[in-house]
Amino acid sequence: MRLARRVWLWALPLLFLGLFFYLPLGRILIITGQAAIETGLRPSFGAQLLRTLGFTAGQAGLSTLLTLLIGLPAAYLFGRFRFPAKRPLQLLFTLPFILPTVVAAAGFNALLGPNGWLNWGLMRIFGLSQPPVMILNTLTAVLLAHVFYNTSVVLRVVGSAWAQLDPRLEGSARTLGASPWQAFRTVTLPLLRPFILAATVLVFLFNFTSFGVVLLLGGPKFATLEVEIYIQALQILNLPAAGALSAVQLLCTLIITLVYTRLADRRNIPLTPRLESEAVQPLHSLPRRVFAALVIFLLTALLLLPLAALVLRSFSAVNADGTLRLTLDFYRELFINRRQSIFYVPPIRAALNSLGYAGLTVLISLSLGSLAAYALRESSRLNRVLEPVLMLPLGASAVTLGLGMVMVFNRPPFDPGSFPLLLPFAHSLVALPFALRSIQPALRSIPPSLGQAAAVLGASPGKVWRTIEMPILARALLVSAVFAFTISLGEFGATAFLARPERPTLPVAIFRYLGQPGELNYGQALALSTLLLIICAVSILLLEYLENRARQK
Amino acid sequence: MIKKNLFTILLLFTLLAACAPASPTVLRVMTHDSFSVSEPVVRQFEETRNVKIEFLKSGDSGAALNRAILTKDNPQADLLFGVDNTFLSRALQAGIFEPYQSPLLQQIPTEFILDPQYRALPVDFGDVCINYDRLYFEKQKIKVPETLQELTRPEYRGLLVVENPATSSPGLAFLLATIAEFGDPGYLDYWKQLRANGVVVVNDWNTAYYTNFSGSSGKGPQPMVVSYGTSPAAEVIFASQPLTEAPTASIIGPNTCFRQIEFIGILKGTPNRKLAEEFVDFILGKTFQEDIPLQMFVFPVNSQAAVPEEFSRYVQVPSQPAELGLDLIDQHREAWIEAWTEVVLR
Amino acid sequence: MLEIQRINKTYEDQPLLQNISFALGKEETLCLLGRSGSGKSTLLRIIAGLEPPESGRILWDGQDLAGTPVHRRQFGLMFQDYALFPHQNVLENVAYGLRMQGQPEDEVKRRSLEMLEAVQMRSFARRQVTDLSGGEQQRVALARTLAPQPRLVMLDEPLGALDRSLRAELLEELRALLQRFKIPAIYVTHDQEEAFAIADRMALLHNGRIEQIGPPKTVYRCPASPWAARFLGLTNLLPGRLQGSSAVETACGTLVIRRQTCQNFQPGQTVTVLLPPRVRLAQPGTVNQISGVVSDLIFQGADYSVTLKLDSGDTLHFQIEDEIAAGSRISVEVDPEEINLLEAE
Repeated sequence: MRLARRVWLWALPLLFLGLFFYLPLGRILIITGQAAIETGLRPSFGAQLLRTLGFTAGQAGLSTLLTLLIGLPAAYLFGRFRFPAKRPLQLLFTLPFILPTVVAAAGFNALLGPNGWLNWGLMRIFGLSQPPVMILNTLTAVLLAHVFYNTSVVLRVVGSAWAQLDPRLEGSARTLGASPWQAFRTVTLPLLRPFILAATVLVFLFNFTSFGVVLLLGGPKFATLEVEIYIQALQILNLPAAGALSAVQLLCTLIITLVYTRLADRRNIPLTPRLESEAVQPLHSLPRRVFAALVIFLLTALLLLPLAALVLRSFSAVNADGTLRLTLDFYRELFINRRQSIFYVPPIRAALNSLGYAGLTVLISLSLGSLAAYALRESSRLNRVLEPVLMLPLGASAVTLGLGMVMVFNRPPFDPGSFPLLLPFAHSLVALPFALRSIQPALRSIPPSLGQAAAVLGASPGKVWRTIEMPILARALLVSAVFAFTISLGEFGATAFLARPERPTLPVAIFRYLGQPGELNYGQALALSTLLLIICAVSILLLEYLENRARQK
Repeated sequence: MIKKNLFTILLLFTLLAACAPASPTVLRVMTHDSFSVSEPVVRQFEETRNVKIEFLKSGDSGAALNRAILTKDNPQADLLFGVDNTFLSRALQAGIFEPYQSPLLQQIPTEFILDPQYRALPVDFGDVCINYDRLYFEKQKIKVPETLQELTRPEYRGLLVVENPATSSPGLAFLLATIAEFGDPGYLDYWKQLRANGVVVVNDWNTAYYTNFSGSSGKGPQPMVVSYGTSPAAEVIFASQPLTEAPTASIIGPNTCFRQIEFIGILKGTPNRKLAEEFVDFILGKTFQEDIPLQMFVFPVNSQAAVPEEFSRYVQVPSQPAELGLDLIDQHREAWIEAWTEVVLR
Repeated sequence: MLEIQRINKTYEDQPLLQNISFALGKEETLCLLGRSGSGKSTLLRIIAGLEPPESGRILWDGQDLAGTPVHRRQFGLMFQDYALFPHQNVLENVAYGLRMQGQPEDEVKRRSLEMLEAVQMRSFARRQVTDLSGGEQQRVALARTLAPQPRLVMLDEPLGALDRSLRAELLEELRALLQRFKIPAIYVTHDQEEAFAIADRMALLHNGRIEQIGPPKTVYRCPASPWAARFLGLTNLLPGRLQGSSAVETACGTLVIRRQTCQNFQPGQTVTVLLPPRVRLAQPGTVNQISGVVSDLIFQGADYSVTLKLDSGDTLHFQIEDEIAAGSRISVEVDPEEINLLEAE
């Protein structure tokens, strides 16, 4: 009975992944593998692979470390304290995650580029003739951009857990003689461990498979496996090499997820969920205020300034003498199909396309993610095998998967042209592990006694779910909904492959403008990016409102 | 709740599967992201032939070609547009095209017809050239370089930004121009000199043009960039305030530019051979050819097609672009890029 | 020992604690008694150092503790729902404080097991705390709090969540333990019976202030205010006016009082008259007869609990040993010795 139930819970997520991930990926890997055996790989391939792998893992590790270094204090601040403007800040700090890398790169350029704000300011202040800060096309730029993208992952996954952790546990430790640090190390940290691990593995995998950031901000000296796959597959047209690289990347992902499952597979620690107000305190002492100011300053500098530079840039045009003037031209131009192009799309339509896909992605990944989280609720050997299966899509190369998908789904009704769900399905592949990672620890933290208590009070299993688990899970569901939504909204790689040209998403439309010279094109790309940011912010607000209502019901 | 949602999705899924389009004839054209055309032009073709044109875009031209090759046993489209001369030989080897000798080929200069079997027919061409910031050179009173060799002179130290040929199509085109000019392995020496002279390499055209180039609205530090011969015209057309003169210009000395030619071909196994032929004729015909320049910022190959005024005024066309054989490019592309990477990046 | 001086604290602009001052003697157990929300737990948190007071001082042996962080105060605090560390087993929980003191590992183990022995939980040492019942958790929490030998323990509603018989049992054990370890203790509860059982002194907390502080007997005999009386379960309160020095006029006639036990009032002053809960049926000719109708009657074994409805409309509650019938009209007599006068409401 138990087993039968679990099999049923597993069935849909596995069917989904099997059909839309493992089938296309397997197909392309088999084909390229056969080609590799027939033709053989270059002798220098091995050395190049090792070098790339070393850099990929190294930068991912370093980026993850930096992200945690900034994300954990931020999670503490947002999980444990209340302060003015907390909600809007939280919202703003989520935004970087949705930016397509081309746009983020534009933001970084506007801020840190040779002609960016920072250099402009420094040159003014110190009367320099050359820009003093040259970090574009260096490892520093890659690390900064990864921190920019992923801090919100740590903030959301760990922060929401921290807010629900009983503050009395730490208080107990303190009265038993533990210094603040000892109390953190021996009580808070072990209890947050599953959440920190989850955030770490997500961030690491994101960095490990990083493409746009490394390509656009790292410059030609650096290449991750994913960049190398792109070069081999789409520039040099060496598919066997691309396939081999993809296989290596997938293998690494598998190893990482296996290690993670191993580490995470400890006893469940049920925590009595707490109301947020119970754990949240005002910032009443000076050291805490200084800490808060420092964290917010850092987050603002790293996460918001690139966004601000981008937004400001979308409102300013360059005069012939190099000075700037404020203008709405770029926004106005968005609504004009000047060249009567058949592919022109009004911004509203592109936004609606994006929102539609994102909404479907939320629906699919939350449904499947919840099912999988329930299936994983009781740890068993079966789960230990199946969990990495769910996580693997995070490590798949977008290029390879995209090629696999167009191969497998190549005739109506399942080709990209006539099967509009293919795109949200592809987005859900990436969003699913995030949903699972957010829902699962929350579900595990609900003591079984709660459900039992409700059952004794006469609640049917469905009612138990709706009245007890759902309100407690609401927070986690919101976190995963925001993840799924933002992943879908900002996704570009798979979208470029699968979106129908007459139904482009915002990132695709942005990319079209960026591909051509001329100030208006660049300006329109930035204007559209600003619209993307606004739409994302409004949507997250709406999701939070819905969650609040769901919780109060 | 969850189960209900899923059932809805599955239901939707099957419904969508059931109602596959039942429209008259659909002609599918696979192409890359940069492809563009005016709506009235397409509608005209559709109406006269009672056909619906569907464009399948799948990433850049490499991605589109890969897709066509990977699905050649089960083609997803009737035509492929957008293979350029650096990739053409690969497409021909893969045998994805059916030959078609369009009558309109007569209006196209033979220099563009690279496949004697007419499997791939030329549609447009554009030159990858070094663009320079005119204001910079005027202000600094430096002579604009005229040949590739001059770029290694000390007065141009640190003034040029190029794209990585491994990740960017104009980058590859420029590398090919240097190979055509200096030969193999002479080009590596040249690049060593360029490197010593502070050439800046970035991964993509976007960064090169908008971040590093001083002639664009990004006002970057380098006054010379590898871009397209048509970029100066685009700067005028897409200026936020009307310009009478282009802020940039191209260096068009002999062998300094590389000509990219884009081709269209009928994909093997199309069930709509006749229509596909008509579409090729339409693409090579005057209406579409005259639409090309302002849509894609390249030149039409049909010599009877008129070019817009902005083009004749602001675009300089090199009289002697660099040339390399198709097969030569295909055989050596990987090795050239690898050697270049060793010399310039390591 | 511990001295609390004029502690103030507000919560969301509402005063939570106002001018709280008291001292705690050696080996003394002080009960803080008050309704939920009266600021009891906050006071404990302030004493422990988990929260700063807005003003006021906490002294230990005359030394201000303001600069001493929580973990250096050596004050044990047992939270209401125990806050056992869910990631550690029973033994690890108990050993936590000793480990923090940097004791050698074998000493930690020996002392922890000893503590578990003292709370009769030795056989549970390796169990997960999440598998324990409420009473077991309470014992473990107590052992954990006492293990590092704090110089003061604070217990926040330690028996709150437990059933009645278990509560009596644990209360007994707790008293024995506190005596055995000779530790001063502050015990927070809302249950006056618990307080009577364990307190050397008790403090009634009301509206953020200490309403009354003193030994249980004194507090019970002489509640400082009508509120204090009601809170302690003394509900027979009637408004009255003092006539001369030995009589008081109330709705049920003039009552004779022998002397003013607790507070002194001037003749003519309005007061609240507190009648004792235990009375007997009036014998003819005695003073202080109060008559009314028995509106409710509950058999309680040793006696009856009687609700008496007076002609004035007031109701009084008495314990009466005599046999009576519901609905009948009776008269009871109140011993003048047992009548107390409190301030008027």
